[in-house]
Amino acid sequence: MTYSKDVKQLVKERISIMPSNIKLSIGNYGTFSKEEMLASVDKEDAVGKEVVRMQMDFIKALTSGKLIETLNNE
Amino acid sequence: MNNSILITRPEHDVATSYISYYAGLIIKDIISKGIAYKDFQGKELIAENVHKFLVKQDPKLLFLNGHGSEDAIEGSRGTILFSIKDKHLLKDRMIYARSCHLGARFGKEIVEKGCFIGYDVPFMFYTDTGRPSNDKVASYVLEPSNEVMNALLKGNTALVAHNRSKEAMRKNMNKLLVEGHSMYIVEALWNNYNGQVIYGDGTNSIHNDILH
Repeated sequence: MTYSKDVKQLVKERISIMPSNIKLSIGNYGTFSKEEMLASVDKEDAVGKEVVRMQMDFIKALTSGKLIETLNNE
Repeated sequence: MNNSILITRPEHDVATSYISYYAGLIIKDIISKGIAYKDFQGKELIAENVHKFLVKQDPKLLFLNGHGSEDAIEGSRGTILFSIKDKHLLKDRMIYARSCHLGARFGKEIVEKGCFIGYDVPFMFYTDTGRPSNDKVASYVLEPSNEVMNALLKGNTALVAHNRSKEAMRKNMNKLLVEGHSMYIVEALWNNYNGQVIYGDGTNSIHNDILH
């Protein structure tokens, strides 16, 4: 899987506004700081690809209305 | 099958230390209910020991925590605990696997009369403090995952337990969205929400086998 420069930039912007102390745990891959996530997205390594996939899945759900539809079922 | 619960919880990195802590909260509930259980941790958590326990004690419910792949789940650091070839040991049991990717293939292939709840994506969560007992950020994701076991221990069916956990995830996503911050936690919740799967007979419960 590869992703465009625009997608990469969008994901990096979203990571950059996260609190500085948080880390993301991605199962076997490990637990990653903001800086490590940004570097992985840049390198397009396995961790970067998982971060992009997670964020793009969420953005698609948000913009398509799927997220709101799901949450309204609560 | 025997009226006991098998729990596995390695603890050798940040992810496993968090899920082990949350599994510990479930164990407190199991103890308070007087249910028999075996908690495999540390060096004891190897396939040989766990398989032997399964054969001897024949527990109906398995609560598996740890790193996983599409084909296998780990025990102590880097060792394989169960793979698809262990289907004969697992096929008729109830299994909740808090682990990455197992729902993609392992869960589908090992189940016959039993039931499997797990994830077909990497199980993701954010951490804040690095201390699981005092990490509100992680709790938004890990507490809903504990709802699977909480519901099963109340005698609910596997399908109800699966749905209770998803309800808890929706509730937390709503709360975070209304509060208007911590969108990144909602992203992790959405990942796990979509990735949580159930296979096999969802009417399975521990009601008659374990609860008194």
